[in-house]
Amino acid sequence: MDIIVKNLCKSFGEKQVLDNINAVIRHGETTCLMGQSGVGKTTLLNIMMGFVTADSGEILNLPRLKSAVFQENRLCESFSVITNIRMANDSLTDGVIMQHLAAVGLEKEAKHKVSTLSGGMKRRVALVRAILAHKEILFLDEPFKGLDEETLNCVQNYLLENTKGLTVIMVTHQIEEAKALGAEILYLKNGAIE
Amino acid sequence: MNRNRFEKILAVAAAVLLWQLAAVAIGEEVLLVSPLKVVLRLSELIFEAEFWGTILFSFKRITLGFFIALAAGTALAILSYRFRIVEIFLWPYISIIKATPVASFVILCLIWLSSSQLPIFIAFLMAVPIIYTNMLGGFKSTDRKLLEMAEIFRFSFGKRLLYIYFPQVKSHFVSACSVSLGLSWKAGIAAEIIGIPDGSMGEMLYQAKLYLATADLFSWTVTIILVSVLFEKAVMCVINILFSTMEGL
Repeated sequence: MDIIVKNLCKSFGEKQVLDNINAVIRHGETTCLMGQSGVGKTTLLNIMMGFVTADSGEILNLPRLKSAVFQENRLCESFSVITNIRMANDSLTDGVIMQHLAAVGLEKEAKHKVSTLSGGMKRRVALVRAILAHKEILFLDEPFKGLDEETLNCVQNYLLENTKGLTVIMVTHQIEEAKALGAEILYLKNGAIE
Repeated sequence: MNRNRFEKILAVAAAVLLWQLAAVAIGEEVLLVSPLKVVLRLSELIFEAEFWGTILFSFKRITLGFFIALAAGTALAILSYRFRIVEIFLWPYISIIKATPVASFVILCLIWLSSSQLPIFIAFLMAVPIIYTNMLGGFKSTDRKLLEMAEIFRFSFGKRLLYIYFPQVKSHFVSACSVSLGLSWKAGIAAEIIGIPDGSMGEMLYQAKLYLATADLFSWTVTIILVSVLFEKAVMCVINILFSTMEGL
């Protein structure tokens, strides 16, 4: 079922961040939230993820099992790449994890501690973890942040292949990133969807 | 040998030399015994069965007190972190224990406990507020963003402990153990000197003071320092192995 955002409002102190947001997010498709910095994209995402409570309004048909790539990587730095991925899904075999790591060019780093990886590598680990969590909805907050041009193509292809039929909500500033994933775009301006 | 280690050995050698010179200058063994005499007395003591029995007596009690404090302090810190009401109600007890002199506790506890149980309780009492305060600080400093990640991926309580809380409190736990271990030994021995349980290291120190056996006093003091330091090193080694094993999972 499609996710329906109804009359959603949120303010922080005097600042109204979301002002009567209404939107339909298609089930099994990728939707991209775009807009300038500070317009409330991440706030909307955080409300949907359950970390922030809306002042008023509601979100209907939001799936219970969620997965996410956060704005920061939020990895457990003292553990290995493979352990970080398995944290989100105990049933994964080493073979499956290695196959996904290979797809994003990280097969050699599987047993390395996350703290030893570069920023771009950590981002890819966070992406693989989110995909392999196998949940009903995937939230992506600027998922390609810190990736170089070459890696970006590889990771975009990886996401495209592994999000077929999955409801994905992505926040990005780059229209090219939204297009690469074939996403429907919701543009936020002045706290409302245009 | 690295430079730091060499400098430390040099500093110890200089201190021992100064001690020897002071002992020679004073020329009165009752007032200050020479390091050589202490070494000689220690080399006699280590061949006596009673020496090892005495160490074991105090070691068992003080380490038991420390480990009970470790378990209780950690459990109370988890409860306080989870339920603020626990932290509020524990606050006066922890503050009083921190501020009260060891001797006051020892004398008070002698009324309730036998002298042989005293070092267990005093070692426990001195270690528990340090472990509790450090661990609670560690839990409170846990990265909220990682906890949100755990919520999204529906981590079980065990997973949260293993992957998020343990790495976050590691440094707090290590420093709590390091500080409280030394304090447990100092307080435990002080309790034995006041309570004088039969066959304890504290009793040996008390006897040495009574008979002005300065060589014995210094030998037992050196023994206490060595046992305390070795125990601390062993505990720290085990803690490091445990954390490394967890991280390797």
